[in-house]
Amino acid sequence: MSLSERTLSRIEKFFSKQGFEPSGVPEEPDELILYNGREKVLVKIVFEEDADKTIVYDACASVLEKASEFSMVYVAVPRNLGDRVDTVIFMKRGIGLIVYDDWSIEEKISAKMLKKTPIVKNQEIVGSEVVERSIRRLESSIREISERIDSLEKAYLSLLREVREIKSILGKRIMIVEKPVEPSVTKPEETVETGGLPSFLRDNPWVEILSRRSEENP
Amino acid sequence: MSEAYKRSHVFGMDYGTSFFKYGPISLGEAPEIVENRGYFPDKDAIMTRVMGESKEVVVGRDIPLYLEAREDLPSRLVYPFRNGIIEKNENRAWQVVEEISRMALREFGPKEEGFNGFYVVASLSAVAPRYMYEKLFDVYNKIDSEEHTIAAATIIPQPLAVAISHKVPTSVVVESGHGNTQITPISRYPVRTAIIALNRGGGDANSITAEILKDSGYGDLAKEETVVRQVKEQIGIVPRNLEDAIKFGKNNPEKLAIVISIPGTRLKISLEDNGWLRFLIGEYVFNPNHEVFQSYFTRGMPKPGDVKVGDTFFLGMIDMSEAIVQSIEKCPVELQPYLYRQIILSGGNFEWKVPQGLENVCVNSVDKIKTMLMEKGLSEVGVTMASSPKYSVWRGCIVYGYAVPESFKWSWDRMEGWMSFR
Repeated sequence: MSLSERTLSRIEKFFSKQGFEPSGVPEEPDELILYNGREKVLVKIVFEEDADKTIVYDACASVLEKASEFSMVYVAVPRNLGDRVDTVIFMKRGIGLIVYDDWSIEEKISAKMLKKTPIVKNQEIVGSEVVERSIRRLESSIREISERIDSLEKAYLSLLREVREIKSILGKRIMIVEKPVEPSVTKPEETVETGGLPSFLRDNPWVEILSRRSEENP
Repeated sequence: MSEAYKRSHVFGMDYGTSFFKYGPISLGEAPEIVENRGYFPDKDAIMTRVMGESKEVVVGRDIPLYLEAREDLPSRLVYPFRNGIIEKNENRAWQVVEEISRMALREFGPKEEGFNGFYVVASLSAVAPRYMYEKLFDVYNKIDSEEHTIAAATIIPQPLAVAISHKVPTSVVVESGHGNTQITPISRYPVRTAIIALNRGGGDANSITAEILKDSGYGDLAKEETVVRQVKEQIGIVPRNLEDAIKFGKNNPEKLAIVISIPGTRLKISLEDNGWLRFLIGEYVFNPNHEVFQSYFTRGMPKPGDVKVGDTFFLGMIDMSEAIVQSIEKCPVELQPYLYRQIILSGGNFEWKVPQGLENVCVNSVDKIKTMLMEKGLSEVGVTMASSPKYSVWRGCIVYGYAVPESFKWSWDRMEGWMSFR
């Protein structure tokens, strides 16, 4: 997972704690659209830590352009950048400001409600009752599932222990009747496959050097 | 177990001075990060009893939830690797190491059928003595016997990990952290006999920043380590040549005047007429021998002394280029030109910026080292800054675990290979 993907997923989690879920496909890869049944939120994320302040203002302009379609709009920026930007524009325009770093995410300025979905009051009450009932149902299902997972985990660990014991008993018996298996040695011309791996592993001369360690030190 | 299983279950653990970076190969480019510290709650405190909390030590992201507003807080908050080395009998520090390692492994396993433990590659300071390796293996042995999460483990020096993640088999890694600086030549293996350690790191740059704050009328703030560190990061600059820079600063005070604020507070710190003092912070990291520093030593600022920690001597006052030269000159002559061509600077203590408009008098760490080496007559040098310095050690651990065959068992003579506890 790339750094930007992780940042997106951490911000998504941050909103999910407030009852929001991803909704729809955003126009840009640095945007998130979230919905909690009533409010639709747009979050635009600035990833570059050493970005110029103007990038933040561009992000503000971009979310304001689309603001008519959303209840609230946010801009998320790395903390060192968030500490430097002028917050007046956010407060005046009702844009929320989120700052993040490697360890935390914080809502520095709350977004103003821009647009409320027009719902007839009665329908709203009926709707909220339905939502509450669904939430209760979901909560009880989650409890049930987590209890099941607990018991499965316990069963899994005890089975794992049993399998280990059986393997070690079998291993000892096989050793008596069979010749010891020669440990497989990597041939010098054999190369270690590194395709599809993280960038720091690909084309790294150390992979070849280190894979010969056991031959160098028999 | 098969090589394929090992490759997909490599788990890196980088015990840095400030942060612990950890996670399996499946994380991709970047590890998880938590502060490398543990908190020992007061078991007699009423809140602890009421909450029924029985944890001896708390680690990871939960620490702020347990912190108590107590005067003895600093003694309860333990940073085990503050100087890269933990003494044998520092039991609380080892407890933190155990708990933070356990937390890391629990966070990622076991979740799949057939899981039989991770291949853990840990990374310690280049000057970590042998007993630290023994103690860390004991910790892993204990965790595996209780939780079956470690199929095998190995420990590598941090500079080797940096060189591996930068894909350079022959290099000199200069790692400068909070407490000290280690210079390690590497030619496929770390040249252990040529390692030089300096008793100087980011903490010493903090000390001189605190003195500058005192001189500028902010003596009360100089006592708070976090504030001092933030001030250092915002005002510290590295001069190309200290004497020229001081002259420039005194003649152009407006170009170096700075007002900074501490995030989340109303504090503002202003350095107007004595902005030239900013050069001292950066210079002190690279060379504390200039006479201008004498006045600070005379007034009581601790002078970095030569100390022996474990089996290693840490030199206090030697300038950084001299230390690099001494380290390289301990290697075979034929190897030396190759080492000078690949000097990798790594660690937070090298992250210095050049402010706009001061390019003529300020430099970054790479140019500073190049300039210092050129003054010693070495023109053919290549100095680079480690990319992603926060992650490079963890990445090196992952490459090491991926490539070293499982059949290569741990050797105490070579300090390499896989240690199995089963």
